[in-house]
Amino acid sequence: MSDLIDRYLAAVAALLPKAQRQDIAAELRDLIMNRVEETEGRLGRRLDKRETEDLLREIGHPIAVAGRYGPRQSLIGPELYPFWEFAVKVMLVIAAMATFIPGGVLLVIGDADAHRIGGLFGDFVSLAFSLVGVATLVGAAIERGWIKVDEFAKWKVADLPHIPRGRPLFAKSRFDAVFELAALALFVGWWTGAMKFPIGAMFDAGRGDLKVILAPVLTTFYWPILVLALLQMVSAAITVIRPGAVRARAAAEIVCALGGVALVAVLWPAQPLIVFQAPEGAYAALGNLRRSVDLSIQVILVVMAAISLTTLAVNAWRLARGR
Amino acid sequence: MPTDTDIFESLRLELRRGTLILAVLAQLREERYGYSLRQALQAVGVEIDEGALYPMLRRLETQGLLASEWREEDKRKKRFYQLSDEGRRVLARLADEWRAINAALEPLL
Repeated sequence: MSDLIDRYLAAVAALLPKAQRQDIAAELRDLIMNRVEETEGRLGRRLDKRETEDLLREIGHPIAVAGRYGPRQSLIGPELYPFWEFAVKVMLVIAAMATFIPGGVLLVIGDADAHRIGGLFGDFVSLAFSLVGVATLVGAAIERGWIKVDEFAKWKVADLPHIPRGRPLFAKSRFDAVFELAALALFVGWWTGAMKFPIGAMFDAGRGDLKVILAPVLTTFYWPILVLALLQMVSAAITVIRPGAVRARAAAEIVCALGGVALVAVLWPAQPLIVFQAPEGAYAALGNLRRSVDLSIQVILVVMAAISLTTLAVNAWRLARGR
Repeated sequence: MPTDTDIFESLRLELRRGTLILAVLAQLREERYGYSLRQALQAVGVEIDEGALYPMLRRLETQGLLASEWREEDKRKKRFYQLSDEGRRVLARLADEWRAINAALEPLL
């Protein structure tokens, strides 16, 4: 009987924090011995092996018993849970977009086979698990106070966005900003090479000797593009943290829009921005594809310029009015 | 789908959680060790699972509401708990709170 109790206590003790191990195990031993004596007193005889096992099972599995002495029971507590759930939903949307949009492009340019399409689902699951894992780690760190979010906890009603009289044109909701922030974080991760995405398949994998690469001008403007993306993240972060800070948001948006206009101005004459490298014969056959990609890039640059100029005008107006 | 019994049980547990701390603190005006505390609570009709009681005693001690010491009794070392001065003050305030809640709820029930 004593052997069973010793083994049970050793199993619990192994899972306890070192500093409290001996103390808690000694107290548990006293509890078990009291229970044994009580039961033996009732039965009028010593407990056999099976009865001792039943008694220990009643006290609980060693993992559960040791777990009750832990400082905290939940990874993400009930107060933080809704925020974590929201972050996970955003991450899943981002993972789907980062996986399936490049996948769609591969389909359109005819570089998709069954193997690669199948691989996309694997990429999605892998990226989604990684992002949800990051959200969970950050949530757990916030829950334990390792990451301070005092500013977020001290939110003011006055910081909430104004109720629009009809949704104003170009207005950015908090959800839009969270989405933008996550998407930009992924872009920065890809741009700096810190994260690998399926989009890489578009640029470094080709059929045979075919290579699809970014034009050298984009490498030249590596830092300005990175700084612009980070500035845009700051602007989105202001919208998330202080949606009522209209002037600060407007100022950040103006800086980003000026950067956007400048970027379009330097990239336009440097086209093509995506370069195809292939053997002589194969290169000629890529004519239609090259024209389509070049046209798409031109459309993107024109749209980017239009959005930047509109953002500039709208935010200059907001900066002046303060709402 | 949870049954009515499941829902009742979960609400009952939620209702009891805070009151158990009050009962434990009240019983520890007098020095007791874990097992004798459980028996004392049982004697006045308050059932508490040992799995919850012992970690609760540790938490209350960490919060400074209880003081404890190891002593030998009946040829075995036991850890005796008792309310600290801070524990007495907190218990008095919690008891007032309990009476106020009870007085407010009783006419409603």
